[in-house]
Amino acid sequence: MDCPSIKELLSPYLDGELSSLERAAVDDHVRTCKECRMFLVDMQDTSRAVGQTLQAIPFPVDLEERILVRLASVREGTHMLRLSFVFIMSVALSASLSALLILSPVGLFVRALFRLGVGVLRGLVFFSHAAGWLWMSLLVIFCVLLAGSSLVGLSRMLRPSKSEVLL
Amino acid sequence: MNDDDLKIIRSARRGNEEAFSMLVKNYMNFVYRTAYGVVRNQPDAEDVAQDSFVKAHQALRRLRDERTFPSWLATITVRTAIDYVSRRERNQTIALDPDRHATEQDVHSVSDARLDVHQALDKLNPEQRTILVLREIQGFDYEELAQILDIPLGTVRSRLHHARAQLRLLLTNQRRGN
Repeated sequence: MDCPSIKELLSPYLDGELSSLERAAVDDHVRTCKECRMFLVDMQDTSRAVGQTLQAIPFPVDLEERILVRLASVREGTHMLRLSFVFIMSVALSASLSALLILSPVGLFVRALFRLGVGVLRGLVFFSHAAGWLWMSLLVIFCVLLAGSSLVGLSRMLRPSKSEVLL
Repeated sequence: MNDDDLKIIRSARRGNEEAFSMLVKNYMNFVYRTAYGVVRNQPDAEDVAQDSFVKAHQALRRLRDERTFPSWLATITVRTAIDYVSRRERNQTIALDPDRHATEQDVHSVSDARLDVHQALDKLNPEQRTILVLREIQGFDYEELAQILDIPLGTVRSRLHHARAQLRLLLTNQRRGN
C-alpha cells in the first residue's frame, strides 16, 4: 500500500477500528516508512492533546443547581397545562351533559318544573304589586311561623318518648 | 454502565424525579464538555446543557433500551449544540469566549500547548469538532458515533481522519508561527 492510502488508515488504526488485515498492512508499512511513522506519532499526540485540553475545561460550579431549577419550572409549566386541560374538558363535559339532559325526555320534565318555578315567581311579584308590601310582609311572617311550628311539632313527634315508672 | 446506573435510568423513565436528578448529577459533566467542545463558549455551553436535560426529561419515556442512554443523551446534546451554532452563525454573534482567552492569558492557568489546541479547535467546522469531542472525551466507538451523528460508518472514519489531520496541520502551522 502507498503512503496516502496508509495515512487514511492511521486514524482508525489509533482507535483500534481496523480489520486484522488492514492493521497488519499498516504495521508493515509503518515499520519501514519514517514519514508515515512520524505522521502516526503526530496523530497520536494531537489526539491526546485534544482529550487533555477538553478535560481541563473548568466546570461551572452552579450548573447542576440551574439545571434542576430549570427542570422544576418546566415541570410546573407542564402541570399547569394539564390542569387547564382538565378544567376545560370538565366544563365541556358538563355543558354537553347539561345540553343532553335538556334535550332528552327527562329534559321535558326539567323544563316544565323550570316554567312552574318562573310562574310562581311571577305570581308572587304580581301579588306583591296588587296587595302591597304590608300584606306581603304579613304573609311572609305567617309562612315563617307556620314552617317553624311545623318543624317544632315534627321534632317533638320524632323524639323518643320517656316513660319512667317510679316504684 | 453498571446495574445501579441501569436501575436509576429505569426509575427515571417511570417518572421518578429524584432518579432523574441523579442522572443530571452523573451526566452533567459529560453533557457540558460535549456541548462546550461544539459551541466553544461557556454561556452557550451552559444553555445547551440545560436544554439537553430538559429535552431528555421530556423524551425519556420513549427510550427503548436503558443501555443506550449515554449515546442517546449525546445525540440530544450534539443536535442542540449544532442548532445553537447554526443560530449563532445566522445572528453573527461572537463565536469565541473572550473571557476564556483573557483568563488563560492573564493567569497562565493553561499551558501554551492547550491554548494552541483551543485556537486550532476554533478553526475547525462544527461537524469536525463534534466528532473529535465525542471520540476524544467520551470515547465512543465508530458504531456509536455513526448512530449519534446519523452518518454511515465510512463517513465516521473519513471525517475523524480529516478532523485530526486538519488539527495537526493547524497546530504545526501555529507552532511554526510562534
